[in-house]
Amino acid sequence: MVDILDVVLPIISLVTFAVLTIPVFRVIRKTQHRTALALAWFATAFLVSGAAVANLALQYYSLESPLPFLSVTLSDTPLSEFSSGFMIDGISVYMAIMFVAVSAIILVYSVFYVDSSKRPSERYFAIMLVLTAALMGAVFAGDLLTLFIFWEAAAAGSSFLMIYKKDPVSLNSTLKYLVMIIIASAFIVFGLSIVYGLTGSLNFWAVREALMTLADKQLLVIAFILIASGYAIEAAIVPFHFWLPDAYAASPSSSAAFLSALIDQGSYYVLIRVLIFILTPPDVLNWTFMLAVMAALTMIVGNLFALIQDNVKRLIANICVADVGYNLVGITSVTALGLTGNLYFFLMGGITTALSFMAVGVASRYGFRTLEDFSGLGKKMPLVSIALVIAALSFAGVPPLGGFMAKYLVFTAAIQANMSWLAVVGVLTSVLQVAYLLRLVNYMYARDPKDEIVIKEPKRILVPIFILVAAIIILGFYPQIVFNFIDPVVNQLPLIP
Amino acid sequence: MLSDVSSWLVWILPLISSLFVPLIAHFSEKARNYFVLIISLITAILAFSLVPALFGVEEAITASADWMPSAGITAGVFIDPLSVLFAVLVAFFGLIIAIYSQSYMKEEEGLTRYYFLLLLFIGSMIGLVVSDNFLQMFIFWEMVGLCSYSLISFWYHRPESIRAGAKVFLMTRIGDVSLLAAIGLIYAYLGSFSFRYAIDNISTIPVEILTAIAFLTLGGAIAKSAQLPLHTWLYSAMEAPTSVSALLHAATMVKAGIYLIARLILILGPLAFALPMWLPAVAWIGVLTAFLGATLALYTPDIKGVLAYSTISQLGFMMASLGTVSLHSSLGWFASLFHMMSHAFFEGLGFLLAGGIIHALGTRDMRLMGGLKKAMPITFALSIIMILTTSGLPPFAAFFSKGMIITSLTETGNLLQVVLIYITTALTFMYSLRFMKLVFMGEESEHLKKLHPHEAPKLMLYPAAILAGLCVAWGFVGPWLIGFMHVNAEVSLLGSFFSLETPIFFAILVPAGLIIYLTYYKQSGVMMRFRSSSNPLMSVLKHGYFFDDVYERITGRGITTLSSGVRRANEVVMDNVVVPARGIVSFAGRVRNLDASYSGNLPQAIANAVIKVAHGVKKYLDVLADDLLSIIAHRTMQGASRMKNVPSSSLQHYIAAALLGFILILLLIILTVGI
Repeated sequence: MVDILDVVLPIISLVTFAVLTIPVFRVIRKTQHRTALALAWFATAFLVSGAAVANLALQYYSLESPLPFLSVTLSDTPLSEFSSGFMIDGISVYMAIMFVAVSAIILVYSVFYVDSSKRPSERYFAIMLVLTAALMGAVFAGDLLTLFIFWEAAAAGSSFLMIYKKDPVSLNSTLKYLVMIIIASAFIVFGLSIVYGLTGSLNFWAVREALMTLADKQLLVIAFILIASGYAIEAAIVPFHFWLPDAYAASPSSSAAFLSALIDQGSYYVLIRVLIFILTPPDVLNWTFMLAVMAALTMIVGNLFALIQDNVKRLIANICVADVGYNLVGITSVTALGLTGNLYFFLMGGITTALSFMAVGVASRYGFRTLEDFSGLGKKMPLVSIALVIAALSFAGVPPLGGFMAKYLVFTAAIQANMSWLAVVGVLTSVLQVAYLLRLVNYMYARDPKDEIVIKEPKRILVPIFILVAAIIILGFYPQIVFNFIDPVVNQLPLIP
Repeated sequence: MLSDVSSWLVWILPLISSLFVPLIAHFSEKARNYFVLIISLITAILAFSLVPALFGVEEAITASADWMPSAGITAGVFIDPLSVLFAVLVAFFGLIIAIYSQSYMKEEEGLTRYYFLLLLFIGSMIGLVVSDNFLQMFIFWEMVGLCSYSLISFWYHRPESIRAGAKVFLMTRIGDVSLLAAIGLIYAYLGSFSFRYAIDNISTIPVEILTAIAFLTLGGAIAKSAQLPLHTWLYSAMEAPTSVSALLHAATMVKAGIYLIARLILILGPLAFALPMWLPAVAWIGVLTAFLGATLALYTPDIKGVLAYSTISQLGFMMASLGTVSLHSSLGWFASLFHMMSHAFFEGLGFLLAGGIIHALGTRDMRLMGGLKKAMPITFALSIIMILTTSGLPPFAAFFSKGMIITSLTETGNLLQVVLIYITTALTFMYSLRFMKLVFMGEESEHLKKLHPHEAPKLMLYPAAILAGLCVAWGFVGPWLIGFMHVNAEVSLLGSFFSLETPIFFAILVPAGLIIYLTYYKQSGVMMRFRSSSNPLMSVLKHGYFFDDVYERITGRGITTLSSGVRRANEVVMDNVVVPARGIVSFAGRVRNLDASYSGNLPQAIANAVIKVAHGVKKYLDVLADDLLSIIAHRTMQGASRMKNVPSSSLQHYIAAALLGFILILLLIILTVGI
């Protein structure tokens, strides 16, 4: 039996560590080995929360028949399904494991990237921990309101990461981001209120049951449009995406890596959860065509915008937009293969964008920002450049790197779901990706550097970068490691009536 | 059984060992070199050990292991005569090149990278040919491609190497996408990637889809095997070290396309003849490539260029031969593979010798060579064998394999193809003679006198001598091989001598030889005038039929236009309305010019017309591509240009866009669901 304590333990442990981080850093900062101690502190935090997540996963899978929608609530009264609560299934477990692992690597990078001896850095790290906890809460949420609260906490909270530099540009774009998030939550709350009016509950399972037998669908359509628009803003689906490149490009690279690898993937999770599992299965409301059009638009616009960028960080931010499109292709197909592809894409797309933001971050420390600046980077910073090339090849879907298998799965799923045109758009835009990524590689290796500055690459910061490089190569060659976690999810899909 | 283990080890061993190369290089460079030699030797032995396992076995030997069980994908090996033939060739050639590189690459930097990529390539290429499913094959297909780009850009401090690598990457990527689409279709209809499953169930796919699959696969093969119209990358690939050119761009990697088509014919079985236009398309592409490649080889002054274009031409022979397969005879299929092996030997030999010559002279320009006969006698002797084999003279290997190709083409009865192939064999003889004359014959050139070249080192000559021996011997293996490959066709060695093709073949060699004799030995006035740079035909050849120029306009310019085009877009869009009109007017103008230049001399005029049309097409495509791309760039990015600089985009735009999106969702839902 999965206890409520098992579910909240990962969240509570992360929040506790976050709160303790601030006093602990006061002490650490005065000592000599401050970086080592900071790393040890975060290692403890992630070991504890990782152990809590592992415990939850074991508890869940040791059940007789791990069914989807295992409700975990405080009280066991018959009315419990109307109260707020948590819910565990394969996807939540998978996402939680992924969040802990990726967040740990990015935090290590941040410790080196954000000068941890300076004043507000401890708050920065604490916020990263809290955001991971909020995301964890969102994936364990058992009703639409809990999901909304935790997810908005993560989405709005990430503005603290963006604004860390406190320069006018980042203030400007963070403000815009916040306004968009508020508009989005207005949409969502409005939609949720209609759903509550229709079904009398916000619990996933109850809502689903009620919607399946709903006679009059007019109100549901309106609710769906509102909720879909709200989450579309947060997932940055074209044409709701304008905030994303601005926000990511203006924030520090470690924040951008965190946002793209965790917050972004969290927003896809919300889409999947709400669209496929709960709110409106295609039998209730046929939304697949709408989403397919959005997916095609997102892939095309994201890649075209990436093509015209001179600033490398903005280029990668635009690839994030394109990645939203590729993920939507998988969501749209509503097949087992599509879901596998999606969940695999969450991980691979997330760590690839994180990797490129990290590498670009190291380069931008030395003032390399635009494509022109990147001329001859291959000679100046060979290791960083190699990491960036691996990321570029993975983006472009070159086997055997992770990006290939991810794209391949979602495109095949689209073909299976009789949407070959979507797969064609996807493949063609991938070719476009090759073009502009090759342009980047061309600048890095074929052009002569503008100046003769000799740079000694920092060694420590390369460790988290190369962990991600290794992950992209190994998981690309042998995706079964990830599939082992995805399989239970996919097996649960047909179990949902 | 031994073959159970070796069929896996033969590709896994080099793949895994490649990872150890950097590690071992850490300790000692000598150890690294020996390590590479030993691994490639073991790989070759493992590959040869697969041969006896196939004696007396009709069915392919397969074995598989779970790779991604949740997606229903397995990793496996598919051992049949076709895959073993390729595996043996790759492993054997890998060993030859590993030995050759010890001397050829001795003084280069970055050898650890070189040997790492070499072993990685050997492993991936063998993996490609023994894969038992399409997905695994495709992954290795991409990996050999990656090795190819990395090795082309081996001297990465030279901008032209990087540029060539990028060009090859982009061009072969077109084929990869095409092949991927074919594999996607197969999976969508069969639900499996496995060859074995496909062989049993291919007939359940509707014919029109099957035709699409076959043509898309052909697209992949065209790009990989440098067939028309994507052949130009192979010449650019000559930026690679010569040892790499010999292994990847002559002997093995470029044959992947041939393997793919040969494999597809096996999988399709009798259905291959039911697909409309497919086999004729294969044959025509092959014949035209063979012809075009040979004419280009006749022109280029680059010693590696001759070999590159010769490879393109010979790959055309193989492709053409695959296209002649019919219900009653698979002679063409066999002839193609037979020629594939003999080509690997003679072209590989050619590259190894060219490597020695480049090493000694430090240039690739044949106009600076001449009279090398005295300085490099062994290279000269081996070159004679290479040239006789290339030309297809008996009793060398290509005589038998080319004879079979011509026989199978004659059997299909397409007269134009047969004539073109005969002309191509004559051209082959011509460029071989020209190569010989320019490099070895005549007086020592000024460049040579300064250098005092010496014979290539022994370590480079031994591998070449082995290949030369195979050039002589390989032709006689034919009757045995045909039994090994389970092909139902009669091949006798004597028959090859006394068939109808042989006298025709010799008859056309005489004028071909005469032309070269007149041009290069006698330097006759007629030929000199023909070769003068004012002759438009020469200009067409110089530009390689303008393929590259057009591609550069479309792709290279296209990308820069798309990226920087936004700024210029306004002006161009203003007059894009008149583009069609402008095109027609300028075309009319061109026709008129053509008329005016038609001044009595017919051959001149025809050549003139060719160049005019080529120029016209080039210009027109240029204008078209430019305008089209800038319109796209303009329309889609008008808004984007404002977003480019960070703070300039204001919040109102965001909200307006979000409202727009809301309306879009509303509309789409209402359209598809209805309220």
